Amino acid sequence: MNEIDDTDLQLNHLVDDERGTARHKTSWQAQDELEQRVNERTSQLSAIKTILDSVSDNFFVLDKEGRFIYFNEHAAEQMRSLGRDPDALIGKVSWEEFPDMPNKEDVMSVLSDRVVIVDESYYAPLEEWVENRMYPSKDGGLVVFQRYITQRKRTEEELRQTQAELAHVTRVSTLGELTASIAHEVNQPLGAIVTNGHACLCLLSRNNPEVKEVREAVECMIADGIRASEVIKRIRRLLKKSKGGKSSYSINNIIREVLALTAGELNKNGVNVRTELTQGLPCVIADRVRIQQVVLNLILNSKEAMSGVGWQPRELLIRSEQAEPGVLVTVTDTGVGIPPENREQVFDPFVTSKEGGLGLGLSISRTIIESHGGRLWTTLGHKETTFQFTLPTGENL
Amino acid sequence: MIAKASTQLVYVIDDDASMRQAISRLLHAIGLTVRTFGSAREFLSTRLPDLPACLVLDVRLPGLSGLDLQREMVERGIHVPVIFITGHGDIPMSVQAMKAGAVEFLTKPFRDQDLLDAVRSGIHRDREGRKERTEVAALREGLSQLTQRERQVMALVVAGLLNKQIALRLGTSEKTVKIHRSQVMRKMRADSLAELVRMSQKLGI
Repeated sequence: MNEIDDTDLQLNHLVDDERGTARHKTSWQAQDELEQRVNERTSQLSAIKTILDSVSDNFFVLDKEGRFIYFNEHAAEQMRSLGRDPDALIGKVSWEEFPDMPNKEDVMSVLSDRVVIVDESYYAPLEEWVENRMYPSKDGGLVVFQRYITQRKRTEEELRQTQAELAHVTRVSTLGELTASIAHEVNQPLGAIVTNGHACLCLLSRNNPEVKEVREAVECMIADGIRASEVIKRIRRLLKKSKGGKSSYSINNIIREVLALTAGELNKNGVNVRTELTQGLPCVIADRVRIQQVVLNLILNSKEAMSGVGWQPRELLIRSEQAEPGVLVTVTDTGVGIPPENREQVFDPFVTSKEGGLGLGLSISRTIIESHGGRLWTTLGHKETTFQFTLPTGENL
Repeated sequence: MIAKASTQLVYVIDDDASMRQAISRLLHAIGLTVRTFGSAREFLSTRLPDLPACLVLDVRLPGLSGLDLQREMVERGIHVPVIFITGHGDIPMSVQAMKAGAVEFLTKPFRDQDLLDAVRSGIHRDREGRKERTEVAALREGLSQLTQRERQVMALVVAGLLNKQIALRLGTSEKTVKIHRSQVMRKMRADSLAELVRMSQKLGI
């Protein structure tokens, strides 16, 4: 519409010229129009400024050399709070003015690669976490919407800590269930050590002590001492509070360690354990303690489910295999199973079939697996119940 | 050292190989002959030599537990005395074991002297038991040779009745009772009335 109006105006000019009317009038008219257009433009800009200043985010515009060309009011305010004059910063290169800028590389990437980048960083002089949404602009520069996210970060951290605490507490209480079996497992080698010690004394008190026999006994004592301390080590590793760091681990080793810890308990309950651990799987990127907690949980759930099957066989199968993507761990038992209508509910907190159970095991397990970028689910077979989870491996991260 | 045929045996059943070996080593060190087993089934499927013996048995075993085995042994007429060892003995468990005739109930780790005492007393008990069983078997053999009438006479004799009273009770003559009585004494190989009474007690008549 505007263009047509402009054409009309131009035509009018021509007509006026042709009529030979005073040039004066034309220039007066043109000036008038110009003024009107400046006013319009000014009010448009002022409206845009009002809008940008009302945005609660900090809004920056940089040109293609990384120079500041615009701050909205909040951004200007931020500059002043940093002791800088926003007007004086216009035309200055951002990373030269702020050498401690934490996201300089991202800014340069947006400028050079013309991609949208969203980053989060802590900016110490402000004592704030900031989120920068950076978009390349058509003139080769970039615009930045910056928001303070310290509160969100704090909440996230608190949530993470609470989850960690909860995971720790349930881990400790799960281990509590194993106390009797674990005590047995420590006591067994201790018993053997003491008995071997007595045997040594007997052998040594003979007239012609058989050095070979004594040596054998002492070697057994050493092996049993190590065996007892391994049990303790395994427990301590599982009781330790997780710092939340992830490293690369063999999933099979994680499974084996939990099985070693639960062997006594499973044995006591007449559970037959079968493992099909695929060799040569890629390592998983995981918080070891947490993944052990999941495996421990699934194994103890299976044990519990099989305690109610009377004289039917109690078979526990643990399998690890390659999945697309990552690795897949399967825990199958021949227990009492889960009613189909409760299939998803079992993952809800405070849902339990165990007397005295908290009902947190599976819900925490699912949280743990999902925080690793994996999935945990259950399927029901004809006579068995299966829980499966996937974990990403170093290869597909 | 000259190897001599062992006159007594100790069986050890523990699923924990190193505990099993340690006990075996200790008993061996004091000169006992030991045979070890990893499970109750393995023990049950072995033909035991006819020698005085005792069994050192772990309570907690995979499959058939120690207490189950003790019951099974009674059912199968295996008389080997049992010494229980356990990692975590609770009172009800030990009461059950002792009631079922266990020699001793030891908690791991145990003192060697306690085990050795128990083993000695177990073997002693088995030796006595075997003697007793041989004797009872001989008495049963004698008893099986008695006629119906002779058994009736024997029962009344050991009950303290006089020949005359017995004759009256059985409706026969005193002379006949005397003949039956001497047959009983001969077949039972009893030298005196007192011995016959003791025998009948052993036989549970």
